[in-house]
Amino acid sequence: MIPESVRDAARAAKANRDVSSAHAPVGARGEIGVLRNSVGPTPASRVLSRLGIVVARHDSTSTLTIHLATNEVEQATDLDLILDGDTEGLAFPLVLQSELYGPIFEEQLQESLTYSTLSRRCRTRSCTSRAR
Amino acid sequence: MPGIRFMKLSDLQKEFSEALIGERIYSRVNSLVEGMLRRRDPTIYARGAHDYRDALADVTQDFILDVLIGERQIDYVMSVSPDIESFDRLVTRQIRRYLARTRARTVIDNLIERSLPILRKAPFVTHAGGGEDRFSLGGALVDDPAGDEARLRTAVALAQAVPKTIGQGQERAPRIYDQEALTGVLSILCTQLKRPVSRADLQDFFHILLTPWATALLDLDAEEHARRTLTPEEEAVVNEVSQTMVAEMSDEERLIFQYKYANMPDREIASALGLSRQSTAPRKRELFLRISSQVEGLALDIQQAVLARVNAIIAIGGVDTG
Repeated sequence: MIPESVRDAARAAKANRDVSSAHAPVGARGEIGVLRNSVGPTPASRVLSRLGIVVARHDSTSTLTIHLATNEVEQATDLDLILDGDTEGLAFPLVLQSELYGPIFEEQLQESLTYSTLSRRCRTRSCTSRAR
Repeated sequence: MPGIRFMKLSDLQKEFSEALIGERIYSRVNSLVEGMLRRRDPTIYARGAHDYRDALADVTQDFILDVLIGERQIDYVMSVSPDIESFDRLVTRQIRRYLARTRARTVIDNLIERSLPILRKAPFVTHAGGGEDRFSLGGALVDDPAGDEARLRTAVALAQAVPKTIGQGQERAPRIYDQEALTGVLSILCTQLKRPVSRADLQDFFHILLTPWATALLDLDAEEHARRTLTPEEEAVVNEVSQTMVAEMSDEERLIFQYKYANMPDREIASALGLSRQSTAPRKRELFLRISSQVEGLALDIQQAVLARVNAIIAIGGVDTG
């Protein structure tokens, strides 16, 4: 039986959220979306999805260059960029792992969560430390 | 509502879009938290509970409020989970991190970890069996559960006299007892309890022993400690007088001193000596007269220091602690 405090907190959190819902991706630069391993020998259901941001689009090969993203904000290094969920239209904060990038097929970008221009208030961990 | 084993991600997604977290997600997270807590020490990971089930609802509720709602991790989990197994894996990972963040290892846990190797060596005796080792210190053991609590209180009162290591107020977990003092404390517990001592007994004993002390001495800063420290000359006087005093006491007198110093009533002393109160009184009077003559002429704070030192020497088995 769910406690009343949890139910109330969930209700309040839902009412306060102003985030865009997931929609079909277009593969545009700055798009943050869910990446799925839909090719290769491993069944898609056995592989955990990852989030990533599109930084380049290559129409001739139908591929995208993406940087991986993670929700483990407290483990961000000085090289990573931290995106505040509120300013980026995301429901949760994200870390863009600047060193983890590579190409994917367009169809591997399965859901689009939001767009980031990276010019808004994203920061590195060292900025966060200085602010504290 | 489908049972936990028959839930599908689509059920959870529907609930998530309607209410963020409802009965289905709550019950699934609760079962995942239970799976994690079952394999961990509840005193550390489940709010100090003896049984993890006592704290399961609290841990689940705090995890959902702090992590899934507060840090918005439920949104992340629902965004990237393609199936129910992935949901479980992601939430379990979050629970593991949450438990690591909130684990509470106390100074008592540290003392128990240090106590077990001491108790496994002579002069202590290990009693194996029942899935858990128990320890005693030779002597006659009694089977009297009704008197257990009174004997535990006596052990605590006597163990108060064992000198504690005063920290600088900067340690995350003060050591409290050095090895010698900890051995003394354990000797008192085993002697007084008169039955093999389990890990749970150690937990209760240290809990009662340290609770009134924690607020006073754990916060004692170095400056305050310095004001109470004796000068080298005074220290020499205290050492000499206290050692002489202990050397001149019989075992019976040491026990009387220890009990009176711990403010135990006369009937407890009589019971410990196996005598009547009438027979104990003259022995007590004789001891007090001798002690008075030995500390006569000393300043009051030096007298107090001598008595405290005598008590400490007796408590840790006649070894000079100075």
